[in-house]
Amino acid sequence: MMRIEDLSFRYGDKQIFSDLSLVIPDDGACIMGPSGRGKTTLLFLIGGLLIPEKGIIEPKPQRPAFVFQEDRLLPWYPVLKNVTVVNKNAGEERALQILDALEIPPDMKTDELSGGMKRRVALARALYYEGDMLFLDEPFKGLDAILREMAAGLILREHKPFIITTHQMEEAEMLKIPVIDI
Amino acid sequence: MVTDVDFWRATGTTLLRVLTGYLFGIIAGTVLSLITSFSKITDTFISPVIRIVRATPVASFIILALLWMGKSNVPVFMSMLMVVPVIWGNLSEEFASTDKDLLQMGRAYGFTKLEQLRHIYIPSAVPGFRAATLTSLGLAWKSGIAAEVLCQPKYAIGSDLYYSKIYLETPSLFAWTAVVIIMSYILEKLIRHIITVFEGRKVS
Repeated sequence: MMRIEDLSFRYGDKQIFSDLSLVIPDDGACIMGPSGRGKTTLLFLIGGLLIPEKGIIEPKPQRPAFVFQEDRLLPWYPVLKNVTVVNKNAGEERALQILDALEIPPDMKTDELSGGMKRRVALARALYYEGDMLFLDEPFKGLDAILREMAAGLILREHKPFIITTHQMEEAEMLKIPVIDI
Repeated sequence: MVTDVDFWRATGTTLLRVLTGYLFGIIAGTVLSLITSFSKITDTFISPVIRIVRATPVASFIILALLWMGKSNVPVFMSMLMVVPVIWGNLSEEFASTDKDLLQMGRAYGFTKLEQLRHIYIPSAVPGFRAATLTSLGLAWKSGIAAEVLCQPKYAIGSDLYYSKIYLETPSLFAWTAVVIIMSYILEKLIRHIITVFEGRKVS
């Protein structure tokens, strides 16, 4: 179980969190809330990408694997390289398996991918990284129902804790994790 | 003129001088931009010097260089000196404007400094580097020949341009000018081709 206590954070003059406390179960949680409430910021704070003004996060993830909301793929690399670049030890075979499961041709150029395909490559990269915890910022955005289920299946098969942000309650239900409203 | 051995000797030697200076300029400009972009201390010392070099007239440097080195080396040095600020300026701008989201992604996935450079900074800077290499080629060519005119080394297009002027050989002056323009055109095409081949290899 992850404990977050008295967490405060501000962007310049804008206070995002003030003494926020919550508990994340062992399997993870789904963070829900309206746009602009700070779901992504909370994800980044827990994952160590942002430093809080004050507060405690325990235990901190040692090797967080992120799926960013904007994909953040490297446009100069093809799909396979975008995945393998984050992990030198996992071997190309595993990357090919993940991409195959997500139905993405590994040799496609990044600028030829549709929005939904980019989303899946970003997810493939996070899975290939072999982190101790997944941080998924709206990972199903732009995916149809079938692809959503396929991606959710892959995430669950990892048997790793994950935190996901979403606006859709059915995504939390599909992943069978508790919802935290902020 | 083209049947004369001295013509080819002068053209070849000038080409060699300019390309040598150009190549050294690219290397020095790249190294300096890496040093100044990723170290604030070196940036404080080196950047003002490069800005001064960029603002100083070519003729002043040619005359100064003539006092310090052999006249065959001055065109090489001048070509290099004109290339360095262009490469440095473009690359430094590209490095500074690298996508912050991608850099954060690199940090999230535990990229080392070297991996950030290899996978994010350098590929981001390729378009600026490409533009700078093409822009600076013209500068290297013109400044190299200007230096030859002022220094008159043996076997040089610039020296022949100078003698044409001294002996009032207007046809020869025009002919050498045409050679300079044609060579500049061929060089640009060649460099463009080399860059395209190199980029193609990097992608595949």
